[in-house]
Amino acid sequence: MNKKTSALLCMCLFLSFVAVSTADILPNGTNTTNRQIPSETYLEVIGSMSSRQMYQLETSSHGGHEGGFLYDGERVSSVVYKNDMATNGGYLAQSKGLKIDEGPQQKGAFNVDSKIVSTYLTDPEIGSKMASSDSLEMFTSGNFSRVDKNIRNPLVADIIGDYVGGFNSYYKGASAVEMTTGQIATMARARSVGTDNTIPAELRYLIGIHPDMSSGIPYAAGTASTEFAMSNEEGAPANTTEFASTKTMNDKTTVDGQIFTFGKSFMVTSGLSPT
Amino acid sequence: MTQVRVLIFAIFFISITPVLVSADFYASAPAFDDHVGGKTSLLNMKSLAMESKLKIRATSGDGAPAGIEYMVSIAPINGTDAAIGTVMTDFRGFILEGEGTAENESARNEWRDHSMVSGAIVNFMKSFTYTSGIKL
Repeated sequence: MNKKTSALLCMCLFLSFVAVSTADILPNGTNTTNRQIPSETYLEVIGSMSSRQMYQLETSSHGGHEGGFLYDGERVSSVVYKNDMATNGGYLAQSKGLKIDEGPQQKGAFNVDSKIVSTYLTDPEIGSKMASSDSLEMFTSGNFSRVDKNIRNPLVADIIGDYVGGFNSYYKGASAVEMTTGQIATMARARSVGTDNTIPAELRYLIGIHPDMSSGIPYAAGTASTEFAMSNEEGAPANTTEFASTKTMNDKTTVDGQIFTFGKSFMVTSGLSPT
Repeated sequence: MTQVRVLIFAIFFISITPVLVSADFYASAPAFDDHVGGKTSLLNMKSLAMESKLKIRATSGDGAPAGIEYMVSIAPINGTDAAIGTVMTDFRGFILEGEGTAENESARNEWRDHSMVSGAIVNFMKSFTYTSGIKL
């Protein structure tokens, strides 16, 4: 019988280690799937083109929340990525990729990951042009909880053995471009709530406009504007009603005319170390 | 009597196992509801070479994920410079996901990709892949 006991003990120990090594930590906090949805587009056309791309991810700790205040310890997050482009004539070459990956964060997986490179050329006197807009937004929010020091922070969604105040965070990176010749490259990245306190919420946005070298015109012609925004409200630990700190940041730029080079990038990372 | 002791030990051990494993360990799969699809239409095409590929794997057992692979490509036929006409594609997915054993929805994933190209098409290729799996 002793042999049986030790065999059982060995088996249980073995099983528990197997379970430890296979538990994944995923960017969206649901801890269930390894979903991957990569998509790609390659395009070269003389004529008109229109495209719309949208990705939205909502996560919620207490099920779908219909307005009102958050419950104790509740946290919600939302990521929205949108990209629209239209031309009414001219030459367009485009490469576009969107890699939605909910794989383990340790491997660098992202809930959204996008890259678009478009080259456009037209005769401005004909009246055709290309219009494009792009935006990436992330919102995370969470409420303080007094229960057993059991707050799940919206940014890290982990049970932390300490009091953490409520949070509201909003990040946005967006651009709008209209041009008759040139090349635009945009990159967007996002990551929502993590399940581990080493993985913060994150947002990156990058845009670059350059001349189209193959056209022989040494500049890109058109208008480009960007908007980067961040706001963060934070409660003090063990206080549900007052803000302990608020931060806001806003950056808007518009350029118009012959653009030789234009590049802007924005990145937010956020983390938490409980005291 | 020893058997009873073994049983008690086993119950005790199993009851502490989740603590050893992690707070996020569940013995059962959470609820999910996934819809994924793709569509391509051609309008008034004069000449074209079209290639499309579709692979589907529905839910299966351990280790093999559900999967879809869809690709469509429009190119000119040999001897011409471009395919002439209009192509429309529409890809979309809608995914609901639960967490642990909770009945509430924990994550909602939605994506859409619509494009229309009209004129002299030198090359047009769109593809998406969807794979999904569960690891407990």
